[in-house]
Amino acid sequence: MQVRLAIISNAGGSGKTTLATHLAISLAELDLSVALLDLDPQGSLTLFCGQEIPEPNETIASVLRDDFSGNWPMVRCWGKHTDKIDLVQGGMPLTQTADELVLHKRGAYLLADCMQDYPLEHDLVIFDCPATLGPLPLMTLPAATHIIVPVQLEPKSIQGAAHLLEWYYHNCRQLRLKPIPEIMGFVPCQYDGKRASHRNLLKALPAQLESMNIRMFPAIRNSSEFINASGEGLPLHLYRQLHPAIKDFKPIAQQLVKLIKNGS
Amino acid sequence: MARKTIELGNYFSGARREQELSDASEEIQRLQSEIEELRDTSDVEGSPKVEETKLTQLREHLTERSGIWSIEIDRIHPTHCIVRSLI
Repeated sequence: MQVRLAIISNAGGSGKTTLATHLAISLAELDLSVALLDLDPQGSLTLFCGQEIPEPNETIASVLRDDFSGNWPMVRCWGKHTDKIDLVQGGMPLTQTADELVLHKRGAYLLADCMQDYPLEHDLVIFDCPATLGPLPLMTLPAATHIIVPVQLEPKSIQGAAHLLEWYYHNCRQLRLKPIPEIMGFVPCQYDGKRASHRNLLKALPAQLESMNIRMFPAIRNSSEFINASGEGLPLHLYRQLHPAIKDFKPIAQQLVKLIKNGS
Repeated sequence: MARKTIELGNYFSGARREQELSDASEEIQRLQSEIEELRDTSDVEGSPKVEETKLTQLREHLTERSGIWSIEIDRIHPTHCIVRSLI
């Protein structure tokens, strides 16, 4: 089955785009195709994938217009290394899209409509959402099969993630989604084992999530090489192939492969 | 003095409440559809199945009573005169 994964968090800098690009390359290395859809007006995927800033009609904003006729504005990512990853860029045009969505008759269902009318054939579609819980991430609930929540091991980020869960349950009811997108899990990001607060929160968080039947994946470690790699428009896999943090993404990638191959 | 640990349970109390609401609303929907299904298939008074049976019986009854009937003449009696005292 095609997995459509929304990466949502309710705080900036939690590692959404890092998770998006590294999951994309992890699956591409397993010969699975991936479409990255950038729903963030900040357009971070453009930077992280080493692309030029697009014209407005070359962004996902053009997909969300009423006159969209199925020509997804895709660019190939890291084409020298793989032919498995495509990107639909986001950016500033999405600020206007967000305003228009509020008044649009199909509002929250618009992205799901596009995916249904003009389906993408990739094994995995990743929606990289903005950091706030507005109309843009709301659109991913009807369109996604799964959601994943990156979280920093800091009170503000964890509280934001808890509010995100409230938002998720409330809106799945309001939108009468059947089935609702499944919560694939929480991913602690930028984990620094030298910091006591990180260690304590990493220890305390699983109990809270388990009581809600939500899985927590092993933490992604903190490394300045993530920042260096993103500056070069590359994931760690292509920037420093032997970096130990690469294996941190493996459990999530394996779970995605399982979902794609077996549907569970 | 040991540093106070962060109580994460407070953070997630709202989320837990919303999850319970969602579970309850799902259960209500499941039960409602089960009731509808039972109504459609059971023989309780007022169910579509019982109403349809009654309609079929009425149709048969009316069909039996309609048409041209042959009746022996001596079975036909004049209507009794009603004597009305006050005309």
